[in-house]
Amino acid sequence: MLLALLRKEFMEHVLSLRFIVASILSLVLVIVSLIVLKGDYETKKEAYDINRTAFRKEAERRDSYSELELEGIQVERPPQKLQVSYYGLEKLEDKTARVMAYLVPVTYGQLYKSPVSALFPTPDMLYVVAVVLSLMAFVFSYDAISGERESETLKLALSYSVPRDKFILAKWLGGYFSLVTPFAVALVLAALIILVSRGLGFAPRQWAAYAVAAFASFLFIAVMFSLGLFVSCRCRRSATAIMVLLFIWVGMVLMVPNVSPYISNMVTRVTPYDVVENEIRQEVNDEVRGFMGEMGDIQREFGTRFRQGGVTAEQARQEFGERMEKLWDDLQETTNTVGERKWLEYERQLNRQVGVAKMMSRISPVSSYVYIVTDMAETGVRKQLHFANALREYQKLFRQYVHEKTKSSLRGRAHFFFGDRESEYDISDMPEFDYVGESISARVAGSLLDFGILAVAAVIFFMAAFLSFLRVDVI
Amino acid sequence: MLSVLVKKEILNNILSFRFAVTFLMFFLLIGGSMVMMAANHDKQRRDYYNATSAYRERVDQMRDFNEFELFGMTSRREPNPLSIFAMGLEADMSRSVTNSEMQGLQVGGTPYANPLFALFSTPDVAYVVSIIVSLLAILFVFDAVSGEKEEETLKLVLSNSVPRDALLMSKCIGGLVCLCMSFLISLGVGLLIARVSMSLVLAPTQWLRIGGIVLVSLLYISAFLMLGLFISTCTQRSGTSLMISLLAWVVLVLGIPNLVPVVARQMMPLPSMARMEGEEEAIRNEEYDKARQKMSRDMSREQRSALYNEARRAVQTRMELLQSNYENRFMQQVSLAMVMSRVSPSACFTYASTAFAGTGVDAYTGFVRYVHLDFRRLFEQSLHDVREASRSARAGVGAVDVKRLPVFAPKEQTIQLSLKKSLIDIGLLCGYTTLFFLGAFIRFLRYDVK
Repeated sequence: MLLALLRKEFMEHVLSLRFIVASILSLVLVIVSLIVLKGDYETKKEAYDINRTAFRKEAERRDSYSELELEGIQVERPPQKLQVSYYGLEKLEDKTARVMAYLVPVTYGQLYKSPVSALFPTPDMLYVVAVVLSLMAFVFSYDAISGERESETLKLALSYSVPRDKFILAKWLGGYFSLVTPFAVALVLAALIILVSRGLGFAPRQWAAYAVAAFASFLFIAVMFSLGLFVSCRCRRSATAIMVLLFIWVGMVLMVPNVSPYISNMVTRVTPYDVVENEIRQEVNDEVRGFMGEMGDIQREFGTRFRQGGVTAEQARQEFGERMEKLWDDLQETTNTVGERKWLEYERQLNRQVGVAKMMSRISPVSSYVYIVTDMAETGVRKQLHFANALREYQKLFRQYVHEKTKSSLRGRAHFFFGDRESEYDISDMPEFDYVGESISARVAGSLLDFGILAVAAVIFFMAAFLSFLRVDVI
Repeated sequence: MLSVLVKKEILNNILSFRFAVTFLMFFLLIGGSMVMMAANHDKQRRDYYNATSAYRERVDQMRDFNEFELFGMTSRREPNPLSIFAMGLEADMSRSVTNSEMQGLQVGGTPYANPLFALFSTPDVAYVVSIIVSLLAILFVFDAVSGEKEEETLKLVLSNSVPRDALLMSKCIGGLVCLCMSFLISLGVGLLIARVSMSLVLAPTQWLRIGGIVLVSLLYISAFLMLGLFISTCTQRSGTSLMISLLAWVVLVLGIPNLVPVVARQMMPLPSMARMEGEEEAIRNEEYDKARQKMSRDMSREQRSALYNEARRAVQTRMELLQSNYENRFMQQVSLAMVMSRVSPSACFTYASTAFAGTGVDAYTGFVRYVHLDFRRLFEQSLHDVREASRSARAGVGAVDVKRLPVFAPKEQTIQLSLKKSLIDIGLLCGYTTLFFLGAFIRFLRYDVK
């Protein structure tokens, strides 16, 4: 019985205009956007390769380690491969950062980017599922029950020994599978295009992420379809059902996720980074000035003692080096502490604001879906924080490296008095910034809450539709 | 006859559930968006003043020119109050711009900012109108003709001496009046609340710009209303009208404007900024090396200074040429994307509304030109004065004179220019409205009402 009903529902949908519309939209938008974004990725990859070499050469052209320490080094993270499907925050283009020894690394963008692209959202797979397919889910389901009631075929069907539970289950399964079939075909075609693309080359972890994101897409469509079915059960007329569903769609898809960052911005306080940076720079400058003053005093002291014959050259070199090293270590520790403390406070405030916005936006299943797929593709919120942390970790390595090199230069300052040669500038042994994304397991673990929300929403809406239908008046 | 029909249509619309839902949504979305965006703008203005003061304080604390040279000059553009209506490219123009002799020009400069603003579209008035109101306009009229045919009231009406053209006109006017009144009331209430609660103060020219945005919004709503009506006259069943209307909406609002810019980027790719910076670096090295080769030990300080200035001018000229060539190519890419996307009324509306708000493509390209060329030139010229003044000043706090630094003031487009730039989009919106209406008219004259 269930199979017969299911076959009937499926065929009814497949032979309808809405299936043709859904198929055209799914296939055309997914494939065209993939091809276009693939080209975009290849351009960004080329720019990344050029930049990596250029930044290294820029650092090699410095005259001394002190100059390197002061001016820092530019680094960049590579473009994410899965942006061809889930563009997310790749639009920001803030992939380049200047890492200096003392200040928190900051990312820089560019003004020369297409303003027309910035005005309109990128039509990637996320957009197709979150906006287009969610609308199609409502279009497929709005008249599932209310339409049959209006055309009086519902009472006809139920006047036979057709159990209501099987009827509604067949409606759900038939409608859902007819909706996801074109999308599944589009996913497979997209995977084939990625597979044959030379410039793209997904690694196993990227394929795993692609599969997880696809699963999230199917789950999200199930949520929207169940909701549509529930509203159809509750409304007597399909015109009323479609209006209610469109009202819900506008709120869930176009408003709630977009409004929540602004509301969060109003209710939570984050000190602007410029003010934080100012405070860090002032404190660091004060410490550096203090250091320069003390260094000058020590130099004068040794100069006087040496001229008066109070110390030998060897003794002076050793003592001077030890005192300078201690002074330098103290400076490093103080400046690191200042920067770290201020940064952690800023990060705490910002994470709180982001957390509040995310929780508010999760009223809409669209938000949960967006967070899952962008985190899987490493183009989401988690990636931003991961990149910021990776920069700070690299800064520690960089600071340690220049600290060691300039320490020997400081000892070498004794050459002014003792004729020693200064150490040569050679950064062939400088650690490179190799950005490694989060592991797939970490990303999945981070998305469990959103998966849970989608799963629970799908079950709740389906149960609501089920229970409503059991009681619906078919006359 | 027409007035009777119009009155009937308006009453039918007002008493329908659909109108109640539409009016409620307009009120919540447009009014809510205005209040929220006004609050956001208020905060942005406070952040701007805090950041500017923080920077001035930092410069005042600098003890010598070397500190200034290392960290550079950070400038910001004051937030535009009209971004409440159409955010457009305001976020990109609000980023800080840092000029330094050592590191060149850098844009942005944040370690980690709230990424959710970039992950989701800004829910400003233009977004609400472009995406949501257009959908509501289509849903308002998708069954205006096909629905009446299904209910068999259409043949009843036309069996009397009711001219078809009058009937169609009444549907157009009735729909337009209901939708436009709802829009204007919601906008007015939102503006009033924003004015009172957020102390939103606007100059007279800004009110004119708001008028322009409202006009463009009304044209846009009309275009989609006519499109919905046209589709309704092409089909016999309201279910079919709904499907085709939704497909048309998805293609025109969600498809074309979003796909076209990405396609244009592939058709006319720009050299990467990495390549550009490499060329700039090569120019600097070449000119300064030439100057160093000409210098000799027996040259006086003035002669060395003259050589250095000559090199600096040569660098400036060549950089400007390089920038200018890049900019031309950049503008060609932008123009291509805009021309291709204007097939969609949604794109025309976005360009026109952001042009009036001063957050559009022209404002952005003007800003980019100002930052890369005009202000950069001003900065480099003033650097010399600031250096000299700090040398002659006593070393210590206040060594860098803030008053000698150039003021960052990108020019705002005049309203006449904004109107001129929007004329093509306004013209296209009028064209689309007329085309869809004519289509509906011709189709309805031949429509089978049985």
